[in-house]
Amino acid sequence: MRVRKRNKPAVHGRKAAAGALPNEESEDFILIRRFLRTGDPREFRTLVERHLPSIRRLLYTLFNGQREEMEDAEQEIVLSLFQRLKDFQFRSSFRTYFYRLARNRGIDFLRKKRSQDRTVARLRLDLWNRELPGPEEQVVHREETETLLAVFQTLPSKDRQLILMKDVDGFTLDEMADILDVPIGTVKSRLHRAREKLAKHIRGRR
Amino acid sequence: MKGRKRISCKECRAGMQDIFDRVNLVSATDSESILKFMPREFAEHLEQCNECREFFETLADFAPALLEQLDQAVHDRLTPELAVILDRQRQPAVQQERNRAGQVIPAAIGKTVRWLFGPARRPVAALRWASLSLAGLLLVSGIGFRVYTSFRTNRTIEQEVDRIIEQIYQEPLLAGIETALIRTRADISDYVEDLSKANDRWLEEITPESLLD
Repeated sequence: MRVRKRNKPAVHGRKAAAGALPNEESEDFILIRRFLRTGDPREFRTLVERHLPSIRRLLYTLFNGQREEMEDAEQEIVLSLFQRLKDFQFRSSFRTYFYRLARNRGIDFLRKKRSQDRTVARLRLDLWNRELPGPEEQVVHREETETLLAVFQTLPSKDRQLILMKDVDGFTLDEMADILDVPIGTVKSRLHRAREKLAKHIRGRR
Repeated sequence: MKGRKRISCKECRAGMQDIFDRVNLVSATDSESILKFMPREFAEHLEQCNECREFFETLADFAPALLEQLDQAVHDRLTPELAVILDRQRQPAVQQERNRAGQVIPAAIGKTVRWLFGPARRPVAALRWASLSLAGLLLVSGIGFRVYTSFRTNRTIEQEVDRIIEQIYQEPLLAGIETALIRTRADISDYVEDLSKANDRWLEEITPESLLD
């Protein structure tokens, strides 16, 4: 059987996506303990930066690449982590803890934003005054429409999150069940359905 | 191939999904390596079924490309580095939000606990414990004094009330009341008797002629 060979992907983002190894886990714990003991923001920064790529990918997925919302949500998530880190129990992996926090905060932010948008739309009703994307954003958008990312973005948000968690960020099914707070069987069946949809969408674009 | 059980497309895809669940698709450098995890009948099915092979290739290949495109898209949008975000947190408005009422009390408790149990030389630790014990003693004495004074005030009021009631129900006072009551009864009977006599007198004196006048 001949299976199409693929090029080795770039190193960019690979390390973060490779999954939390036990030593990485203990490095997280060391950084947290140091930060809690000394209050040194550099420790906090190092800790967050280790996991920021996967959190940013999640934010992109949740907010469909809306830049301002991603920035605001990211700031809120980091602030929230800063405030809550003292309550971290060291029982679960920090990576899972941070991802769950980011997802929950992101969804809250999304709900709040949608509600505000609805209110504003109801009050204004001036569709012609809507701000158009700037030239740079237009170029970025045009480039992305033909990519795999564009196909990925056509999937429902829940399916995108599942694929992102498992296949891109390398979470295990157990970790996903913990993050999503659903049984492992449910995660598995939803993930399989999501992959089938993705495969169908990719085939449809070819 | 003869004698070996052929699997359906549905079974093959379900089996592939189970494999994809076990491997890290981003870390796997080519789809051949994923194929090694598959039972032989799956590989044979993929050789014969174009649709399933396409399904396998799509899912085995998409993850690294998606990762790269996602990271590029994020990079195009989120220019501020984490340092900028952390600097924003030091701004007064954010600090004010952090120090809301709900966080002040736990922070104060935490500070006291750290102050008390934190690493310190023996004399310093002893001084801390002594000052805390003194503060506790003062607090307990204050509360005790307050309880005692309120108890004493209540007791005095009760005693005063008892004394007044006792005075009211003294014997001579009650005797006077009885006498007054008897006297009042006699006066009324006199009045009623007089009224009856006057009535009789009026009835005797009246005549038909006087009524006609």
